[in-house]
Amino acid sequence: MRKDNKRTIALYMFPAILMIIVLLYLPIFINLYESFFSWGAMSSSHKFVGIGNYIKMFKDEVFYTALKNNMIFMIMSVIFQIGLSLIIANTLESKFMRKTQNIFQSIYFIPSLLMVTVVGIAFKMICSPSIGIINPLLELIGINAENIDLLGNAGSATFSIAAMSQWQYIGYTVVLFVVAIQNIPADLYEAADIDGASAIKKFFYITLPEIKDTILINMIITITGSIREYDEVFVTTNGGPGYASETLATYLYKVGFRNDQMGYASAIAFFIFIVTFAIGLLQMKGYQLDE
Amino acid sequence: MKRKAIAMLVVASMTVALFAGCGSKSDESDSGKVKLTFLDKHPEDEYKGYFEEAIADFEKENPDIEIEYENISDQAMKEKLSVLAAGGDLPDIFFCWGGECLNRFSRSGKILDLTSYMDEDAEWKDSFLPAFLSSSVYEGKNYAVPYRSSVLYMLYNKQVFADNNLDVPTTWDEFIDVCDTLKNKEITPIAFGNSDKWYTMWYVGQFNANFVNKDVRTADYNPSSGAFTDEGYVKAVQTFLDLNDAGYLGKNVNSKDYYQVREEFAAGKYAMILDATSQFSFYKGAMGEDGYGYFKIPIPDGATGDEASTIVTGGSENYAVSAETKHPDEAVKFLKFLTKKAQAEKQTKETGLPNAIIGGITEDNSDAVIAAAYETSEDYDAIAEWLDQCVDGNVSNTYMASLQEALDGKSAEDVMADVQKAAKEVADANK
Repeated sequence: MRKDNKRTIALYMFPAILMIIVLLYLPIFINLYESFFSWGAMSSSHKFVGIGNYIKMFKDEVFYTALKNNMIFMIMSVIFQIGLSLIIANTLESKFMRKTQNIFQSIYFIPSLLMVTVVGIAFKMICSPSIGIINPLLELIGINAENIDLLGNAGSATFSIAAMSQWQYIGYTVVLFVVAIQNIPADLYEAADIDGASAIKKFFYITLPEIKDTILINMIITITGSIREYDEVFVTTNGGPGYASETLATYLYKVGFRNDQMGYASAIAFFIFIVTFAIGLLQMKGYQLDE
Repeated sequence: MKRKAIAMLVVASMTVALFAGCGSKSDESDSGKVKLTFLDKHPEDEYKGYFEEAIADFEKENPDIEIEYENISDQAMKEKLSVLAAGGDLPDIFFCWGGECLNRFSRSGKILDLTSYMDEDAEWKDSFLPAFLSSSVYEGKNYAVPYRSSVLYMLYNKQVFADNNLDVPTTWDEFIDVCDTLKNKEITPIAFGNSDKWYTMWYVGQFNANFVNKDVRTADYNPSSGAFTDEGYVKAVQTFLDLNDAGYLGKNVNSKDYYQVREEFAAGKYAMILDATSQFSFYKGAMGEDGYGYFKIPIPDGATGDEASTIVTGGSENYAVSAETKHPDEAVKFLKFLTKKAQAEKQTKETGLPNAIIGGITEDNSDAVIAAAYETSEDYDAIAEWLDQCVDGNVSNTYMASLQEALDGKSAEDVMADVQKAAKEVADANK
C-alpha cells in the first residue's frame, strides 16, 4: 500500500514537474546552448562561435555601463527599501504613532500599487526641464537649474530612475516590516523597558534580530529585482542618453530584438541568470546558517 | 484498477491542459470565412477611423473574408516587426517601412513575392509613384505596396516669421542668418527633441545624402558591405552638431521628444521644425492652413555628394504579405482594395496621410499647402530612405545612441567611429 501510494504521488506530481522542466529548466539550457552561436532571428545563418559571445560581452563597454547601473539600482534599493524602510516601519510601530499608523502606512503603500508605466510617464514629465516641476523648484531655492536635465543628462539619468523606483516601492517593504514587527512578542519589549533600555537599543537588540527572516527575504526580493531592472528604464529613458542609463535587461532586449544579435543576447541573459542564481544561493545559504 | 484509470485520465488531462494555450491559431473563423490578420500602425484617433471603415467596406464587398485588425504605435511597430519575425508568426498582412526594414524580410524569404500579381495587373503596378514603389523592390522583385508617401521639409510658423520680419531662406547662409536673428531675439529657432533618439536621424540622413555620393551610400547602407568610412559622414554629423552647438535647437534636447516640441512649435514657441509631408495634416489642424509654410531644406555649405541638390529624405510606408499566409490571393485582394486610386484619395482626404498614387494628391483631397509640397517634391530626383529604417538595426541603433551622446558632448569623429565598428560587425556577420 505504501509503495502504491508513492507511485500515485509521483503520478500526480508528474504534470507539475513536466511543466517546470519544459517551461523553466529547458529554456535555460537552450539559452546556454544558443549563446555559443552567432545568429539572428531575421537571418538564416547559425554559426558556432564557441565562447565568442562571452568574450565580446566582457570587451563591450556598454555591458559594463549596464552592470554599473544595475549596481547603482542595487545599492540604492538596499539603502532605501531595506535601511530607510526599516526606520520608517519602526517609527510607525512606536507608541506615539499608533493612532496615525494606518494613514501613514497607506500613504507609503499606495505608490507600489501604481503601474510602472504610469509612474514612469509621470516622472518623465516631473523631471522635464521645460514642462516639469523639479527645475522651477530648484530655481526657487536659488540653485541654477539651467544645466540640470535629470533624465536627459548622462550623469543623472540612472540616479533619477533609481530614485523613482525607491519612491514607488519603499512603502511595500515598509508594510512587510510593520507586519513582522507586530509579530514580535510584546513581553520582550516590556522586559527591555523594565531593564531601562533606550528605543535605539530596543531596535538593535530586539527588533532587528527578531525580524531577521523578513529582512533576508526583502533583501532577496530587492537585490534580484534590481539585477533584473527593466521596465522603469524602458519607460523613462529607454537606456538613454546614449547608453548612459542602460541596464543589463534593457541592453539584452536591444541587442536581441533591435540589433538582431540573438546569440549575444543569449550570452548576456545567461550572465544575468548566473548572477541572480549565485546571489540567490548565497542568500539562501546565509538563511540556513541562521536557522 | 478503475481508480488507476481515472487517475491516469486526470493526469493526462492536466498535462494536455497545460499546453493547450501553446497551439497554433486557427485561421478559419467560426463562420467558415477566410480570416486574415492585419497589423498596422495607425492607432491615433485621426487615422484609426478611416482604416476601420476601409476594412468594414472591404468585408462588405467580400463577405467571405474577415480581417482581424491590430493597430499599434509607431515606436512599438519598430520593435514588433523584429519580435514577430523572431517568433516566426507574422500576421498575414502587415505594415513595414521601405528600405532595409523591408529588405531584411525579403532577403530571408519571409514575405510574399508580389511580382507575379503586379505583372498580372499592370494597371495596378503602374498606378504607384515609381520613386516610392522602388523602395520595396529587392533584387528586382516587388515585395510590398506603398500606401503612404512622405518627404522632408523645413516648416515655419508664419506668424513668428512675420513678427520678426524674416524671409523664407533659400540657401544655407540665409538659413543660418534666420537662425541667428531669432536667437538674438531669444526665440529658439528650431523645434527639436531627441529623447526618442530617432529625430536626429532625419537630419543626419538628409545631410548624409547631401555629403556622400550615391554609390558609397548604397554600399554602406547594405548590411553586408557597410563601412561608413567616407569622410562625408563625419561632415554630415558635424553639420548637425553645429546647429546644436550654436544653440539653434534649444536646450536639453535629450529629454524633450518630437511630439512635445511639435505642439510647442504649433503654439508659436519655436520658429521652424523639420517634418515630413505625411505629418502636415497635424499642422493644418493645429495652426490652420495659413498658419504654417514650408521650404526645402537648404543644402549645407560644402555638400559635395553627387546628388546633393536633388535628393531629399523621405520614404514610403508599405503593406506586405507574409510568405506563410494560407490565403495569399485574398491578402493581395485587400492590398489592391487599399491602394486603388479612389480608396487612396479617400485615405488622403479623411486622414491627411498622403497616398503614393500618381496624381493622387490634389487640392481636393488635401489642401493647397500639401498639394504644393508634393508638386515641389517633383524637383527632387532621388529619395533617401529614412536613415533609421534603411540601415541594419545594429548600425541604426548605434548611430542613434552615439548621436544622443554627441548632443551631450561627444565628437562627430567618435560618433562615426562607433558606427564604423557596428557596421563592420554587421558586415562580418552577413558574410
